[in-house]
Amino acid sequence: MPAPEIEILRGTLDLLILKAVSWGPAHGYAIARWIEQAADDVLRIEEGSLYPALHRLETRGWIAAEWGTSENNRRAKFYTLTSKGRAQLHVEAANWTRFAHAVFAVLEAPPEPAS
Amino acid sequence: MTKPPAWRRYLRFWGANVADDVDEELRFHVDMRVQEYMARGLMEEEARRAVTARLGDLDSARAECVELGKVREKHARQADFLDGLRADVSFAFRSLARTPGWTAVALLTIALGIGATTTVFSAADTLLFRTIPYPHSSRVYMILREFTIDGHEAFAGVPLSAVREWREHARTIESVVPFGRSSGLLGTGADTITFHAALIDTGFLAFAGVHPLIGRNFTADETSYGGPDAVLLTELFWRRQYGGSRDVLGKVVEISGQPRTIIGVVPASFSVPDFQSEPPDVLLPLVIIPNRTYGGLVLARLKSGVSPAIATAELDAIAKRASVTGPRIAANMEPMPMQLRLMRPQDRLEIRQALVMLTGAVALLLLVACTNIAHLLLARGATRQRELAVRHALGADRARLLRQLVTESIVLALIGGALAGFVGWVGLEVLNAVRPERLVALSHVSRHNDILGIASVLALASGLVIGLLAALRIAHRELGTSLRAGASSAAPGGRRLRATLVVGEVALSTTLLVGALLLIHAVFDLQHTRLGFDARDLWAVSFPVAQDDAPATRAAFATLLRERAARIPGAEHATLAGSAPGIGNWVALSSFETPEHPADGVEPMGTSQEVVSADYFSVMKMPLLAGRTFDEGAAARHEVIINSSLAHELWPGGDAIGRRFRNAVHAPGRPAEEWQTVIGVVPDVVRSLVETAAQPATYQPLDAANDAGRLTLLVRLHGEDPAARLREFASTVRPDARGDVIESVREKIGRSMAEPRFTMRVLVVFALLGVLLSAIGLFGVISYNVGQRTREIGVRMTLGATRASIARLVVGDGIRLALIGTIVGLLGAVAATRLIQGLLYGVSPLDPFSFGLGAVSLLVISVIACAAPMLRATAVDPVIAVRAE
Repeated sequence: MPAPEIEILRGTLDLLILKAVSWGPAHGYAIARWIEQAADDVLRIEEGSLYPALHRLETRGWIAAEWGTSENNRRAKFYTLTSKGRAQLHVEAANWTRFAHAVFAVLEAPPEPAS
Repeated sequence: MTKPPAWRRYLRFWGANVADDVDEELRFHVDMRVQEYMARGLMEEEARRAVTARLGDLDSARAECVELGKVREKHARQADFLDGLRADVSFAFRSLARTPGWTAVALLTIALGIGATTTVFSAADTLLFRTIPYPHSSRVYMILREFTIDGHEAFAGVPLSAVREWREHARTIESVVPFGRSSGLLGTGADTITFHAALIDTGFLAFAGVHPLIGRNFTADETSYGGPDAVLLTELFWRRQYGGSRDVLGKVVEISGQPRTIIGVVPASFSVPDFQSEPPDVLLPLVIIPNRTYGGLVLARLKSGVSPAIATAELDAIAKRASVTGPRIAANMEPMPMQLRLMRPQDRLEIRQALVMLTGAVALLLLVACTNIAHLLLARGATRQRELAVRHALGADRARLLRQLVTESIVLALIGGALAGFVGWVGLEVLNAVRPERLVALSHVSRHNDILGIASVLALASGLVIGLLAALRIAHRELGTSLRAGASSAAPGGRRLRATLVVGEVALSTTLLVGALLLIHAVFDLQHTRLGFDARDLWAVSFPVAQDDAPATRAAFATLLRERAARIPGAEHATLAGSAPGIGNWVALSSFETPEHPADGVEPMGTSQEVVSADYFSVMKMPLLAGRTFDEGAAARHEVIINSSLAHELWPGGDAIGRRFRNAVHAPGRPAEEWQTVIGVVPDVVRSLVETAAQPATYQPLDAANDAGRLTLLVRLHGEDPAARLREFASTVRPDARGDVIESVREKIGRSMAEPRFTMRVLVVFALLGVLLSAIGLFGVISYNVGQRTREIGVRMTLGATRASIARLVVGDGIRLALIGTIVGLLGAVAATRLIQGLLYGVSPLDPFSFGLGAVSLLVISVIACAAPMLRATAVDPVIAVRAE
C-alpha cells in the first residue's frame, strides 16, 4: 500500500464530494473510491467524515439522495448533484484553485531580502 | 432534478426509519470495502478485520448522519404540508369565486354574526372588567352581605361593627374602609342647590390613593359622633361652584340645614364605586351614631396572593366570632344571617344583569349565524355531490376531499373574520355614540386589536367546527351512488338535517325577538303607564324655600302659586308638593318603629319622604288603595299617607289604616319624632327603571314641612312650548327668584332610563340581526328545495297542477318549518326571559303581547323569505324542467 496517505481538510472534502458526484449518481463507497483513485491513492478518505459530509450536503440541498440498486445488485443510496450543488461546485473549485495558486506562489517565491 | 421524486413521500407511509437508512448505507460501504480488500487477495475474515481496523469507530459519524436525516425529514414534511395547503387554498378561492352569490351570503352571515358578537364582548369587557382607579385595584373588593328574597339574589351593606373587628383581626386583608352615598341640599335661601355626597372615613383617601389638592383630609375627631362638622369638596364641584378659589378653605356652608366648614378639595381623579348614582360633589365624614347598627358599603384591599375565597372565609369567621349579626330591615323581622360575598367594585348588579342578558343574546345570535353557515355549507355540499363523486372516482381519497372542504370553510371563515373585525369596530363606534354618558367610553385603541383577535378566533373556531361537521356529513355519503343517481334526488337525510337547522335558527331568533320585545314593552310601559302616576304633559316648577321663612310666609307663597297657576294658559290641573314625583325624591334613612315593635337595632332603610297637598293624588292620578286623603288640620293630627310597600313592610298582611308608626332616627339634639297615624295607602311609584324593588314612601301634608327645601308646583300643561309659559309664570311669582327649576317630569324620568334604553336598543339590533340571519337561512333552504324539486314541479304542472297550488306547496314547506321553529323558540323564551325578569319592571316575563308579536313577526318574515323561491317555482316551464337532465 502506498504510504503515507494525506488526511484531507473538512472544507476540501465537501468540494471533492461535489466534484465526485458531478459525473453522475454515485453511492458513498463509489465516491470515496473515485476520490482515492483520482488522487492516485495519496488522499485518504475517512469514513467518519465522509458520511456526515454527504448528509450535510444533502441537508443543504447541494446533493440529492435516492435509493437505487448498486452494480452488485444491492440496495444502495445514490447521490446526485443538484443545480444548487453544481453552482456551489463552481464557486468552491474556483476558490480552491486561487488558494492553491497563492500557496504555490508563496512556496516557489525566490528568497528576498527583508528590506 | 432538484426535487426528490414524488413517490419518496409515500415511503414514509410504511414507516421510513432514518436510523435504519443510515445503518444500511454504512453497512453497504463496509461490505464494498471488504470486497475491495478481498479483490486484493485477502481472505474474507482478514478483509473484514482490516476494514474494521481501518474504519475505526463510526458511532459518532452515524449519530451525526441520523441527526441530519431527521432534520431533512422534518423539512420535507413541512414542505409537503405547505404544498398541499397552497393547492387547497387556491382551489378554495377558485371554488368560492365560482359561486359569488353563495359566497356573499355566507360572508355577510359571518361578518354580521361574529361582528356583533365581538362588539358586545368588548363592550362587556370594558364595562364589566373596568377597574376603579385605585392603587392595586386588582386586589380591591367590595364586601357585601348576600341574601335571598323569594328566591332572588339580593345584596345589602355590612354592619360597621364588623368592619371594626376586621380592621383589628383580619390578616388576609391589607386595609378595609366603609363608605356611603347621600344627597341633599346645599346653601340657603334662593342659592340652594342639590348635591350628591360620598360619606367616607379618615382612611378612605389613603385607600383610594389620593391626597387633597388643597387643604386636608378629615381628622378622627371629625368622623366621630358629635365632632366638628367638616366637608371636603371635589375638584369639579369646587371649580364649578367656587371658581377654583383657594379662599374656600375655612368657609362655612350650610349642608342640609347644618353648617359645615370646608376643609379641603380632593382632585378630580378621586372616585367612589358607582352605584347607578351621580358622581359625588362633596365628601362628608361617615359618622356613626353610637348604639345604632349601621349597614354600609365596604371596600377592602386583599393582601397580595390572597384569594377572595380565603379572605371571605376569614372575614366570615371573624364576624361570627364577634357575633356580629345582620341587622333587621323591619322591627318585626328576624336578624338576617351574615353571608359575605366579595365582589369586584365594578360588578354593578344592574349593569351586570343587562350585560349578562346581552351576552346571552349575542350567544344566541352567534348560534343563529353558525347554524346559517352550517346549512349554507350543507346546501353547497349537496350541490357539489357530483363534483366530489367525480373527484373521488378519479382517485382523491376521502381524507383528501375532507381536507379540501375544511380548507374551504376555513378560507371562508378567515375572510369573514376580517370583515367581522371591521363590523365589530364599526359596531363599537356606534355603541359608543349612543351610550349613555354615565357609561365609560368604550373605545380604546388596544380594544380594537382585541376585537380583531376575538373575531378571528371566533371565526376560525366556528369555521373549523362547522366546516368539519358539514364536510364529514358530505364525505360520509355514498360518493359512488350520487354519481349514478340523477342529481335531483337529494338524499332525504340531508333534507331532514337542513330542515332541523332552519327550525333551530327560527327558534333562536324567536327567543331573541321575544326578549327584545319584552324589554321594549317594559321601557315603553314605564314611560307611559306603569310609573304609578300619570306623567303625561306634567311639568314641575320648583322654588327653593328658605328655612327661616315663617310657616305663614310659606303658606302665603303656596296660595300665591296656586292662584297664579290657574292663570297659566293651557294649564289643566295643578297641585303642590315638595318635589316632582318619580325620580329624585328626598330619600332618607329611616328606622321605622311601631308601638308594637320598638326600633332597637332596626336597620335603617332608604325611604322616600314627600310632602304633598291634599289634591296631589287626584292630580297625579294615583288612586287611593285604602283610606282617604288629607283634610284641614291633617298636619296637626300627624296624619300620613304611605305607599303599599311600606304598609306591607310594617304590617304584613294587615290593614294599615289607623295604625301608628314613627321614625326612630332623629338628628342629635332634636326631640323624638311624633307618632304618625296612617290615613291612606297609595300605590308604589317607580323611581327608576333599574330599581327592581319599590322604595317605601311616606306622604305628609304640605304644611307639616318645617325644613328648608323646595316647593314644587306640578301642573298639567297642554299646547305649544310649555317651558316658555312656565318661565314667564315663574318670573311673575318670584321676580327676584334664583334657583327655580322648570322641567318636564316625563323627560326627567326619560333621562334616568338612559341605560335601560341603551340596553334595549342594543338588544333590538341583535334581535333584528337574528331575524335577518334566519330569514337568509330560510330563504336558502327553500330556494335549495325548489332548485332540487324543479323536475318534480315540472311533472306536477304537466299533470295539471296550477301555479297557485305550486306556490302553496313551496310556501307551505317554509311555513311548516317556521311554525315549528317559532313554537320551539317561544318555549325557549319562556325559559330565557325568566332570567331577565329584574329588568322588566313589572312586565310579566310571559307577557302575551311580546310573545304574540314575536311569533307573528317571525312567521311574516318567513313567508317573505319564501316569496322569491316561490316565484321561481311558479315560473318553472314544465317542458324545460322535465327535459332538464
